[in-house]
Amino acid sequence: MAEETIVLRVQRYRPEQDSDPYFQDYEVPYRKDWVVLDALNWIKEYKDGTLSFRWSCRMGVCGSCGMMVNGRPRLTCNTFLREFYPNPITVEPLVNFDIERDLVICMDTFLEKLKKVKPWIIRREVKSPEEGPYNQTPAQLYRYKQFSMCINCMLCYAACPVVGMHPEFLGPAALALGVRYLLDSRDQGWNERMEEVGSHEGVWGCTFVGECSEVCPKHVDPAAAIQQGKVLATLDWFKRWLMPWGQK
Amino acid sequence: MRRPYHRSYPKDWWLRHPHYRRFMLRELTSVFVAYFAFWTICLLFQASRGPEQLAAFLTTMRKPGWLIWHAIGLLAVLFHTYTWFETAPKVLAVRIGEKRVPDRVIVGAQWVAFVVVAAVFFALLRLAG
Amino acid sequence: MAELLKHDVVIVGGGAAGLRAAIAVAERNPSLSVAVVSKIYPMRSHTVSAEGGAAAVIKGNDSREHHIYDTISGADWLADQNAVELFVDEAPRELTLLEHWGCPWSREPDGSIAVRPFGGMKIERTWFAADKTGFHMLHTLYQTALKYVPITWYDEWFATKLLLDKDRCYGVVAIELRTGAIRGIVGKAVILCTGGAGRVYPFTTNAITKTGDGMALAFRAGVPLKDMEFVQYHPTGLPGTGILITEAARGEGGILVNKDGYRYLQDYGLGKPLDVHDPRHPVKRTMELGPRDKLSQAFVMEMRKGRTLKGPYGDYVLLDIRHLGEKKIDEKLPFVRELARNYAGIDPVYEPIPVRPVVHYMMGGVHTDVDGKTPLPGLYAAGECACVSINGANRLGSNSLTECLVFGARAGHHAAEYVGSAPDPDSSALEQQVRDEADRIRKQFLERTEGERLVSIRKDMQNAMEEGCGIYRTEQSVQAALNKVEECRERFQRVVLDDHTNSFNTELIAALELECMLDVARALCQAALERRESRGAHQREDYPARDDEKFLKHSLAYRTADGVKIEWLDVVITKWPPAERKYGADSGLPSEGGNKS
Repeated sequence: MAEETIVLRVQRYRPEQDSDPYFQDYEVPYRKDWVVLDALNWIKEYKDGTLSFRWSCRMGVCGSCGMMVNGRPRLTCNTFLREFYPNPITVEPLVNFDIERDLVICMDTFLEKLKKVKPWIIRREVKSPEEGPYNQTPAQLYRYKQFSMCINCMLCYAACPVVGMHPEFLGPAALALGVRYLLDSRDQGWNERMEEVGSHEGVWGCTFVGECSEVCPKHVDPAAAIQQGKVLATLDWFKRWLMPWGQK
Repeated sequence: MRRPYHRSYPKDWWLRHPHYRRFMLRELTSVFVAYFAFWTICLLFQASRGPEQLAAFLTTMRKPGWLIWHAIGLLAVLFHTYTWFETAPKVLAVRIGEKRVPDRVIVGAQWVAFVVVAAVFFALLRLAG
Repeated sequence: MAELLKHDVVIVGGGAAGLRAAIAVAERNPSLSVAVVSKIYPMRSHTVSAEGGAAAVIKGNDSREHHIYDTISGADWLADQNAVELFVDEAPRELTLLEHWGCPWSREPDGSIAVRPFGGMKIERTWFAADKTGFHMLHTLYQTALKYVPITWYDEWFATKLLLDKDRCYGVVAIELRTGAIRGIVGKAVILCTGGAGRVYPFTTNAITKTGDGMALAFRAGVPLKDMEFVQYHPTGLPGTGILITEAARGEGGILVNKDGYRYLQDYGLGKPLDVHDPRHPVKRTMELGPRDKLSQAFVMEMRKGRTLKGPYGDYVLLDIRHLGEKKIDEKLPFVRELARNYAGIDPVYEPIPVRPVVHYMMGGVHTDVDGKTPLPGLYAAGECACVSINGANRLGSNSLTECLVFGARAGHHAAEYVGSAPDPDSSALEQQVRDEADRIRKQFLERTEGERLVSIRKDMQNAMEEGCGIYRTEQSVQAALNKVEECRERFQRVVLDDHTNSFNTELIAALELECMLDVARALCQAALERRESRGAHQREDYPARDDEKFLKHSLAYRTADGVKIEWLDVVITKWPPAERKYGADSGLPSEGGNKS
């Protein structure tokens, strides 16, 4: 019996030989329990070792394998072939990033943006570990928990038209993490963090397309984080200019 | 050697997915909100000029062209209101203890408020008229 | 061109141990320049996949003695007891530090840290962040590390060799993936934090990146690998993919049943089952909360009796958590539900999860002392790639994340001290080594146009390891695996790549990783061959008993010109003399000092 197959139309770009990206078709075995990443690995192992892409955990938590699958940003480790079979599947590198090679994007811009929101706890008075953990009730935890679930997979950046048109926009993932620290009861870095989060490149750059939350594989809901960031920034503005005496 | 390939963002991006089209529709319909605000100011201005001017203005407004135009505007504003209410749960994360109030409760509450405010408004109009 | 990139401390690996070490160096001496060299972006590191939690004594009903005893008995007495004591003493401080850095630990209603039980534990002491503990720890560490100015990030650089001068270690040779450039990254101290080597086997919970790189680097430089024969099989991986279903599923009350719905663990000295609705269920150190080695061995016995289920990916049993109910599953085990739905095609709220034992963790690794120091001056190691040893013959669940922190910090602190006293290297000697390595890589991989593709070599090695060095082993089976590995090493000399370019050549990296795995596999087989006893995760059917007389010792595998040589090193016993491992009703902590047999 002939094996069932499916066609993967993969975007290629090898900087040392290609001037522009092009598409290459591969016919791969179709298996109901295979994800797109399995098919890419099959190509790499048995057909064409020159195809480059990133992957690691294959269980949807490391965030390496985000690609455009039929035009939508997806984690290829949890996008099953059966969703598309028997139609061909188009695989491209995530949009809104430069292409390093084939399906590998340049992540540098994101790392700079991540650092800008100061994604670490800032304390005025530091407690020594010997004094034990800070107290944080489940209600305080749940205020920011959802926004701490971001795996930095970059699907939201590929989905966001603002990122595409204004590359300086900090973007959904970085802003969600900024808001995550603003909402953490242990953090005391409100003012310095708000300078970035509440800036024009920060939450105010967002036009609320909402697509970041649609594509987020971890239900972080960065759009919600950003809108709540706008509320926080507005309250912050009122506090600063109308009640300067109210500053902490 | 490294030669990153830069792709420019397509001008027709907003045509490329239903969600993007919907977003553009939401943004465009907001124009009618501004329009009706402006129209209300015009109405008040005509009223301030005396009963005849007001009557003339209202007569003009009863012409079919204006009625069609305003019917379209009403639909647009209602659509805009709908999208506005739908997005509210993202802005307002209401929590009771550890539980987040479900989105549909927040959306529902807004519609209830909308109906109540509209009813009070029309009731006042009727009393005045 | 052999340009050297100069720093003070070079850390290889950006997972929990590497990041903790980097922060430790930066805090101990902010004037030191730290390089973190990682073959993937640090937040992609395999720490991210750890689910259940991290152990440390914090609750009033627990004690350091309990944690020590659980660890030592879990290790089948092969752990160094001085190391375990130190580990248990420093664990709460490390987890508290992580809390101060923002880790979203799950909480009790009063706002204190919540803990859950894990297998092999007398008292619940596992700190957790739902069932994504490793993910939260890694991102907390990475985001915190970003604030330290002295840290330089070499993201997506693959280390291929240690730089040596006058019998000291002075850095690494590494390939920058995006350009293909090969450079020396120099520092007076190197800390290896590259994690485990689960990919030596075909079925593993490990990410594709777990290829034993740091172990191989040290091994090639003459540093011994310790206790490599001990490979932990996690009893509950998904068949086929090997994706981990956390032990927390059993800690919260999940049960294991065979094809008849029978809780088979009761037949294997793990105590008697209680009804799942009994408020005392699950009982610590009993049944499903027995240690991982015993549970995985019970699976094999059950399979031999023909009482497991058959599927396309081999035999399996069922992990049933349905009785926990949807609410508790969503609150405590949301990731388990997500994984089971995606990769097993079932919803564990309504159906039991198919599971089988899969390779999960290497107890062995680069030989270090409690300060992370290896026998090679200037070389340190921490985390799964190191063997201190606190894990002995079988690691206690939820000790590994804590181990990364405790020994990552210790290695960082000691490396920071060491660089002050170490002599300067001879730069021209190091430059020569970089040039030689670049030549080797070019000739061996990039210029060869005929030979064997690497996938067949890798598959042959992996299958041989599973068959020969699996849960149960014999002299014959291990020897067969070793022979196959040696054959694969021969074939590897003629490996050919499709990709001869420089920029982001992932096939080249895969080849270098396979080269590392072949070295690790070789050491593992040799140690498994020469340990003629059964202890913890190393079960020899031809030597079914534990033999403390001859083998209460660590194996040290050295690479020599004529193969791998094994030497033996006494285990450090302080207060807990070897005793029988007991689980079930009469398990637990013996009275003061631990003299009960």
